[in-house]
Amino acid sequence: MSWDFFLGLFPQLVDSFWITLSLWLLSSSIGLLVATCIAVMSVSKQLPIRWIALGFITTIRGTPLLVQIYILYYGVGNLIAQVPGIRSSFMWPILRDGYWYALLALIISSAAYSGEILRGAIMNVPKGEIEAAKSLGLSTAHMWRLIILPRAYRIGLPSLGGESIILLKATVLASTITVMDLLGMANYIRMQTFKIYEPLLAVAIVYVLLTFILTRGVALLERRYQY
Amino acid sequence: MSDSGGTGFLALVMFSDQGWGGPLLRGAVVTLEISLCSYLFGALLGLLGAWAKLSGSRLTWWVAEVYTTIVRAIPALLLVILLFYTGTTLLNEAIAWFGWRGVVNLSGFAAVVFSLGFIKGAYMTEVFRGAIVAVPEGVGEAAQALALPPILRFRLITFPLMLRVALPGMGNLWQSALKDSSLVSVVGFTELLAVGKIAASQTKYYLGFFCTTALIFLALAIISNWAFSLVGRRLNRGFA
Repeated sequence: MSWDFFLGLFPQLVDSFWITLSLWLLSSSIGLLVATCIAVMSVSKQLPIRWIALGFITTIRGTPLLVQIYILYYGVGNLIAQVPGIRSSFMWPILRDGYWYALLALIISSAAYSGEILRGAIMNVPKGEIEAAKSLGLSTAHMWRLIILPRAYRIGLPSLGGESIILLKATVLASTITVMDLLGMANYIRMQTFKIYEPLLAVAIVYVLLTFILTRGVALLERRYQY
Repeated sequence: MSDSGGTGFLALVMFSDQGWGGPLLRGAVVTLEISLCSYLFGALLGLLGAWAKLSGSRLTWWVAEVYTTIVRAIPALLLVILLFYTGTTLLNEAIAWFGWRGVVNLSGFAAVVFSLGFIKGAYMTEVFRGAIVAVPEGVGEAAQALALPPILRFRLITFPLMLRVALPGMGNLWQSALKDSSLVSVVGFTELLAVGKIAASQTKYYLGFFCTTALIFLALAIISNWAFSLVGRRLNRGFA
């Protein structure tokens, strides 16, 4: 292994680093929003609503993310491509780009896994606090916004942090649908230079550093919001 | 182009001559095989890792700590690609390191099981470590007082008690082993997802075949979930 070649790889990874980071940031933040809706739906008293939420969680958590990405990119993408005139529309550059399909798949996945965590957290909110809120005459919406959800986020924080780290590692699957994220770039360099180890090792190092920083961040958050 | 009605697709997923039902089913069997083998290999590594972390020796603790930290920080797909291509080399170097001679050539199946199992082992280590720690100290001391040799002590006392605590974690790891097995389709190994991909691109029913693949994975997940809950009920008998 030549060190000059190895160290020279890192500057080439900068662009793809931002793609990985944006995939992760967007999917974990939007995913958390959707997860909150799913979790609230999953404890609803209306059975059909609850079934929809639970069915969503079970289906997404029971199938590989890679299959979900293929369903969206090849399956749905193929249907979209058949819409007459779509190729000449201004939306085509977006509809053709694997990035958006990967992002959507990651959001859905994050929503299901975090939704399940939040569902458990909501059910663990102490009954007394909800009764107290009711006795103060808070409306249902207020009770959710001021009492139940803030408490649920705190209860779920350690698991949500772990989920977020898992999501960061899941972003590499975007490389299978032509996205030039870190792994996509490593594969590209691999094909160009016929060197297997170096590009993959370089990217592995980046992930180890990223995960390390993220783990620290989550630990910090936990200490800050611990009871 | 591809989609005009359901009947055309239905004929293609059935078990006729030109139907993909047979290949998909065989792919599902391969998926189960690699999941199961890598899971067992991972469990073996996990026991070894848990022992290394709890043996009290600084050296083995460090080796296990580096293994679990690094493997759990790197995305599974990256590791699968890395280990799939380097598995044979790594294994031969390990063999040479132990002073044995001879060259081992991993088959595709073995390389896949090795790479998936190597990843699972790191997660297994943490599950087993936590479970062993949760076994009450007095029980181990009682076994020691009976002068049971260490191996018997582990097999008869620690292991069954630990299994009860480890089971939920092991169930989760089995679910992820099932799903992670689909990653090896990226390095060109033919399991369920790879078959689905071939079927999709040959028939142009992309949505249909990938959804079918997803449904088979979902069925496997639900069935094994149920099996784990049965085992859990059995291991938990006698405990409140």
